[in-house]
Amino acid sequence: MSLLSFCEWLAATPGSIALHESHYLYLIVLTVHVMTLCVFAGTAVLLNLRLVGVTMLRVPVSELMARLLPWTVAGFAVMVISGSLLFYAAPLDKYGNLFFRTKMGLLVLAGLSVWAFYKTAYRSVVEWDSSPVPPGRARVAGCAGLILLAAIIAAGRMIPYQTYWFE
Amino acid sequence: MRKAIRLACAVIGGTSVLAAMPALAHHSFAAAFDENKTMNIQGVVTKVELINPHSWLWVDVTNEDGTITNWGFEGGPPINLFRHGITKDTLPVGSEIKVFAYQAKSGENKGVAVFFEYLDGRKVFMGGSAPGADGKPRPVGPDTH
Amino acid sequence: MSLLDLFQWFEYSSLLVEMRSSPWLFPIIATIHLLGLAVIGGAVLIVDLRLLGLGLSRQSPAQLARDVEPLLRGSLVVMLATGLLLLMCFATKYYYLTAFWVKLASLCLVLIFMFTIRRRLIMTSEMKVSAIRSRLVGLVSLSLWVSVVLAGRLIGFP
Repeated sequence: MSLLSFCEWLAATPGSIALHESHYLYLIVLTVHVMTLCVFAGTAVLLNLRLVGVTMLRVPVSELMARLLPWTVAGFAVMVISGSLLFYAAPLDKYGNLFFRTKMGLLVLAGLSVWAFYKTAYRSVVEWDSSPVPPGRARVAGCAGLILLAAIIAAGRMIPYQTYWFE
Repeated sequence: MRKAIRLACAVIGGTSVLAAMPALAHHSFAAAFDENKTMNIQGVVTKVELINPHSWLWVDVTNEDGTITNWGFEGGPPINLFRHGITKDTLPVGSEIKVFAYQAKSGENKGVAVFFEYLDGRKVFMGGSAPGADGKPRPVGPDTH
Repeated sequence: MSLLDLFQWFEYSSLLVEMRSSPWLFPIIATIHLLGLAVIGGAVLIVDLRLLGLGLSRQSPAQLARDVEPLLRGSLVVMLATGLLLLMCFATKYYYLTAFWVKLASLCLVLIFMFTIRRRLIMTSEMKVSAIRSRLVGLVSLSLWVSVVLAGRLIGFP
């Protein structure tokens, strides 16, 4: 079964149609998705800025991560759930949407970037935990994190414009 | 205290500069629709999509040469249309309506509807991004659209 | 001149006809507004969480507030500037939206609150501040900000 036929099947399910035509449910899910961005992206921005050596320089990196990451992860979980519901409401529309595809690609890249950070620079965190400015690799990870986050948010914001610009 | 004053000045100064800038295009309205190209058509409803985030009305319009073109008109989300009295029952496929809309810039057979009228004269606003689609009064002036 | 007239003046004042029809400008302004939201969210959250006894706990609220102050100020300027542009774009539509007036009121309240009561509490030495007072201030701040963001999202619905 191809991805396209899977999306076609999803679009025909009663749940998808109900959500797509709902009076309030879709709008509530969309609201949750946008508002949770404050928690998810807000904490992620601070973590990345710390890695770059721009803010909260007196807080050890491992401590900041230990205390903030739970919020970032919880926020991300809500983003994924609400985002999946938004996709489910109109799967074919999203399947063909260039901005949506870009956003998904960027999310994968962001995941890889985080994984790479944990595998490399973070391994030696004990050595540079309290330094106001972390070593090069960590700074690159922080920078990449910020750029990817901004790009993901921008791509998401542009999703509605495909109908107007490319069709 | 001085920092707060500096911040206030930056905000006032910055926004004054920006306030001198011309008004921006109406969001997705100007991204896709031409505020100078209004259209008044009459036709038969072929499809009613009451979906989030934007609803769509599809209408068969008979052209001067007798051919039929299917036009799509965008409106607000289902809750907005519902509040203006539009449901699949009140606007069944096959209804004949007149639509006032702004045409798409792309040249496609699409527009964003401000309102539509039943043949008996009842006017219904589409509650979407078109100026005036909320059905509220606006003061008349030289620049009013 | 009525308030509606003023809003109409906002919306239709234009120096360059071309800019009125730019398809790119609004999406870019709206995106910057959203990016700024992420930054101000983090800057506000880190201190309010601390006041609530969550997030970072070893550092004093004063230290955290000082650390994120440039972020808070910078993002606030961006939000106010882009917000004003968005308002000018839609002024006569917003005039009729309850959500817009709720947002404006909540925003004024929260900004006043942040620069007076909250700031004073943060700068007071921790030993002189009861946990209850601290949590109350954190809660009020977060509640007002939630009101601002929620009302803002409701404005954005077509």
